[in-house]
Amino acid sequence: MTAWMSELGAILTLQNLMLCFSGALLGTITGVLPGIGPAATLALLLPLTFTLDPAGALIMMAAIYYGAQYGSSTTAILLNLPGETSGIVTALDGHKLALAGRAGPAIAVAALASLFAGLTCAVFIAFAAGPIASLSLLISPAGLAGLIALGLFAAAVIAPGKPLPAVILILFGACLGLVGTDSGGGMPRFTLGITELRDGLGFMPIVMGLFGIAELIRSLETGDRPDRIAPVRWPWPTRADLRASWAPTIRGTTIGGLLGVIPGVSTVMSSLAARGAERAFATKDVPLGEGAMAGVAAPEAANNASAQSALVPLLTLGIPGNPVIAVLAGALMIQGIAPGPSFISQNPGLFGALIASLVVGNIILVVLNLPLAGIWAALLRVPFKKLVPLIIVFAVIGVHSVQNSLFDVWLMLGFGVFGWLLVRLNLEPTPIVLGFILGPAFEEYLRRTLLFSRGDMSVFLTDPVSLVCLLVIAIGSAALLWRGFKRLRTARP
Amino acid sequence: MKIARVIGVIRSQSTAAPLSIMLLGIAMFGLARTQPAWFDDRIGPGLFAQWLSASVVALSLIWFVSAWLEGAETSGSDNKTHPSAIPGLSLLAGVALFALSFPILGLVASCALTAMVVSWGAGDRGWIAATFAALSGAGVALALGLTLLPPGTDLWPTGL
Repeated sequence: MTAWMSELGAILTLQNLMLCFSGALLGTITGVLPGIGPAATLALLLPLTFTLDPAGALIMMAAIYYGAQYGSSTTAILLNLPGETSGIVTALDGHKLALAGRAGPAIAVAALASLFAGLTCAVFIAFAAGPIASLSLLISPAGLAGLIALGLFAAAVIAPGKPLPAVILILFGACLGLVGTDSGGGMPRFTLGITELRDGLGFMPIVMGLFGIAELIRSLETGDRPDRIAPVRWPWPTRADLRASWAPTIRGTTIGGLLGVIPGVSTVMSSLAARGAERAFATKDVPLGEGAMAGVAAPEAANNASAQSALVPLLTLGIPGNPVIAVLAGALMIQGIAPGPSFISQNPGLFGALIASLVVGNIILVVLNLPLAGIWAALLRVPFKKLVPLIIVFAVIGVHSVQNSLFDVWLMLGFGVFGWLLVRLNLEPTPIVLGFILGPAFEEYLRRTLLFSRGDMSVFLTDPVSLVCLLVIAIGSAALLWRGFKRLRTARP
Repeated sequence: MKIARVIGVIRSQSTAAPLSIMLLGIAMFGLARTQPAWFDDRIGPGLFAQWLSASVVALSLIWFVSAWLEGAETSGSDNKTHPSAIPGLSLLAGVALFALSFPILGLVASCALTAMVVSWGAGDRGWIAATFAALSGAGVALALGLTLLPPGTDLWPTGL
């Protein structure tokens, strides 16, 4: 604990505090804007971190990440339109409060619940991630390959929509991850003879195309906002508000923190679970759905706890459980840092920087959210069509600046078209990014396993971790097939 | 009549997605087949690539068949109206314009052009809006170019 505190002190330089503040501010501003989710926010702001050292970049990226989560709740409360999907749950009661002239206290309760969840999860990550990572170092390459496969399977199954398309898109993303020179034999793969592809597809063009461009097009095509935005008055909640929200905050934090560790569980699922749990508890406040503070506190705590505890599988196993964490993982890789079992032992300073960012950033966000709630409301009055040209300019400059390459801009355009087509076909582009990140890692563990076993595939059945993962995948697939078969049978007379 | 119905199912949104991804998978499988799967007793660059692309093709086929069956059940109910394609196309055109004009016009002017085209597509039409968008785009590019970007970045047109 003392070592950790001294690490924390060493990291909290003025420069890092400024980075944390600006990351939280930028994240909140973009998170407030409906239609731009945290993944797109992180992707769009990624170029800002390129010139920083790894610790500074990690602090800023983490701050952008949860800043965007915070920002989305303001939009949900004021507009009944979430900046990010989990805001839908907050909006159910939060917007009712806003319509009753209590937008300020609702935003304040959301911020305080998020602060509690954020600090609790930062402590949880600080103490739990190290031991989990030490345990994961004992897992063989076959077991790690199995865990990656299980993580991807869980992400595909639990994600909203049909699981089969998500599995296919993950596999397709993994194919894209193989583009470039093969690390084993040095042979070019899927490069089509294009020299620029020998180093592989850039992460930035893919993520900017699939999230940035495609998301913006989706927002322009579907996003219209209500004319009336509820006014934000004095934001401090009353004693009754605080009394009604402290227990839901604790319950939401517990639910979100536990669910967030599971790969594939999104923040919206944690928020829904936390709100569902509140139904079981008697409250002196108004009932849920009619403007209850519990309906704001529980989902907001769960959403923030889930967003932060989702970092655990990334830091300990190298498995990004959701698209936002996948973007964060890609950003770390651009900095030359490989998240995985040895991340914490090899980079204790960076791990400390992340924890520091989580603690300080969450406090900064409350300071930003309470007095500035009125400014966020004013930001929502700026027409989205005025912001889109600037966001695109920022995106093209960002992608171009990574390698000073126009090829990357064309690549972004190609993935923008692809992402747009996916959106038009009612498909989510996010699984592609998960596959893109984890495909090469999976191949590496596969290669090592088969090298040690001299090409004997049965090692995946004799290794206990790999066997358990394969069994879970097999049972899950059988259950899904059975469900699909039953649905088809009931559809036919 | 039957042929028309089959074409209708293929053209429907639910089957177009698996069909197009299956075609991409087939193309990737063809490319992966050009790589060796094994070198003696260690895996080559083609093995995982072939597994992945073959899985994409096989699973897309399952998806296509189930979408086909569901499509046949609901025959012709897939008639959702799509929003206008203009915002999307103009946004993409803006990015393409940046890539084409940057080598000649430099960062500031190409960003101004891009912002103008995107602003038009976003529904902000008229000369005042276009000028405002162009000036804002140029301003952002100039600010980023002078502060964050490497000193060698071409901010102005070639020859200036």
